[in-house]
Amino acid sequence: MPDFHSLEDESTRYVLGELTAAERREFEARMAKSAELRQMVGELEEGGVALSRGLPRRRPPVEIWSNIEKALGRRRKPNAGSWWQIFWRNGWAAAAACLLGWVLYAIWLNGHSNAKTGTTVLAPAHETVAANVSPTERVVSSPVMPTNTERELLQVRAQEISNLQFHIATLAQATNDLSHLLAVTRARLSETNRLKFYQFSAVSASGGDAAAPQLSPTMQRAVLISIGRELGWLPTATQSRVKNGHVVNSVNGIDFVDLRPATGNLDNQPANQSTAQPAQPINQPTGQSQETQVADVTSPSIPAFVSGDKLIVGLDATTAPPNSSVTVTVTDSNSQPLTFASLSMGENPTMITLPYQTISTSDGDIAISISSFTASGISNIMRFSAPAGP
Amino acid sequence: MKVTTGLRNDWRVEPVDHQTTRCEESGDLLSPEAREDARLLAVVAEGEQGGLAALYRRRSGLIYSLLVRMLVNEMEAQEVMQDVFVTIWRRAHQFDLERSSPMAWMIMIARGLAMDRLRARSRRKAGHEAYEREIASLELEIKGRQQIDRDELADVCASALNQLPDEQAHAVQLAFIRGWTHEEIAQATGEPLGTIKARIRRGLLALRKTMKDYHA
Repeated sequence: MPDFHSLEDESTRYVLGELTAAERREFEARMAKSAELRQMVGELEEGGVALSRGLPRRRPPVEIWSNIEKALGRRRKPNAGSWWQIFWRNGWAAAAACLLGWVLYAIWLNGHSNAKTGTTVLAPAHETVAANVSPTERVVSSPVMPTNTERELLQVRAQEISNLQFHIATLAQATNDLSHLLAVTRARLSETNRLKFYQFSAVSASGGDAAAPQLSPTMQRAVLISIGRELGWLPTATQSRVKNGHVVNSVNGIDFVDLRPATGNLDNQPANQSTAQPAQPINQPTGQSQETQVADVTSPSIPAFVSGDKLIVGLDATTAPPNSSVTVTVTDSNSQPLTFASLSMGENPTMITLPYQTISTSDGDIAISISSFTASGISNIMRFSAPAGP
Repeated sequence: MKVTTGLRNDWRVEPVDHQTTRCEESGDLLSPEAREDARLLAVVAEGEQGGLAALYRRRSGLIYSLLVRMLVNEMEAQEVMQDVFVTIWRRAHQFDLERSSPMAWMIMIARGLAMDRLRARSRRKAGHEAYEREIASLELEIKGRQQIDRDELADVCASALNQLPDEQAHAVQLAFIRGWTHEEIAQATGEPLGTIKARIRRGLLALRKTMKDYHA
């Protein structure tokens, strides 16, 4: 048996937390049986309290308590043990014991009956108990154990249904919100003072839309400057010259050509494809055969945007080579082809203005054909389309 | 004597009578404030968060001061402070007045959690220089801090600590507050292990006697 000094030493080490886990467990087991050990430990702990009390006092920051409250909010109440206390205190244990005894008795009776008749019962517990009564009674009697389990199951099911109803209501609300957002977006797109942007993709030979490649930096710049002009941020007229009967405005190395009929250029008047002849290519050698090809999926895309009643389309060397003659054909709102007079491409990117209201279908779909004729007699017809609205 | 039975669920602080109750193992008479702490712990054990709030109002300053003193780092002390009261919330039903006073129970929880932090830090070199540094920092903290929220008992305990012989006060503080082991202190001071053990034990008991006398 350890001597007194050894106990003192152990008590001190216990209070200061110097014992190993195993030593601590062993010490606590001895302490549970020894009032002397408990007293030693109690006195040393009180010494620690006195030492703590004598320390310079600091005031904890106020947010610590709110953090504690948050932490407690994520935890259950600590009195798991007191549930049993309440259970025993309020007589539920006696009731449970009675119920258990009754069930065991019923099962025993059933087993006794089966032993007499030699039958084997492979049925749920409540049917086993019910087998003990007459057939008539079995029909009218409810199961002996409508049980807490069934009740809990029903409650769980009811809770699940309630949760599902909540999710359905949430989804319905989300659908309504999205519908409203869509309606608002459509309404905004129909406003004339709002810019709409398109990226016309080349129609592949198979009829599918090709993936739109990225615009060249010069074309990006041309589109941005064009937008600036439309919004009034940049001057609209700087250097003007007439080329092939069109007024060409050059701004910062970008040519702007307005092909709308209202501009007053006779050559700009659109004509029905059936009556109007395509514009003659510039410098096309006489008698030289034209080689026509439809753009494949690697063909460039055409940026465009709608500003009010104007559709402004950007062309550059990737669409039509310099010095080629370009003819723009669109499908009007009556699905009839409209051909606009040709223009001669220069070195600069060219922004062409077309009448949007005339060429867009009721769905807003737009299809444009660009035919370029080069001096070598090669023509390149590219068809672009864009669905309604961006 | 378990205090978890026969207590109201209402956590609000009731006026306490000034009769004293004996904490059997430490042999101390329980002061009215200790009885109130015990009552609040019983309320917390019943799952009443308001009881914990009341306990926090009463004891957070003292516990926080200990944690700052032990860990030196205020941020760490705040984290541990939170853990301490969450632990009190979880373990309140285990509190047994027959084993310890409420303050001792709470202080030992706080110290245990702070010790875990100290142990998690890189292992210190418990040499003579480290010992000198620790002693210097303990004295600096005592002189440098403004004394706030002090009561009479706190002054009595501080006075008792100052009246201990220096070697004893240093050993007690290093062991209880900074978590130095007996062996580490003995090695740093070059004194026999038995001497260090006796100093720490006697120092703690002397401080305890001061508090006991005060309550008496």
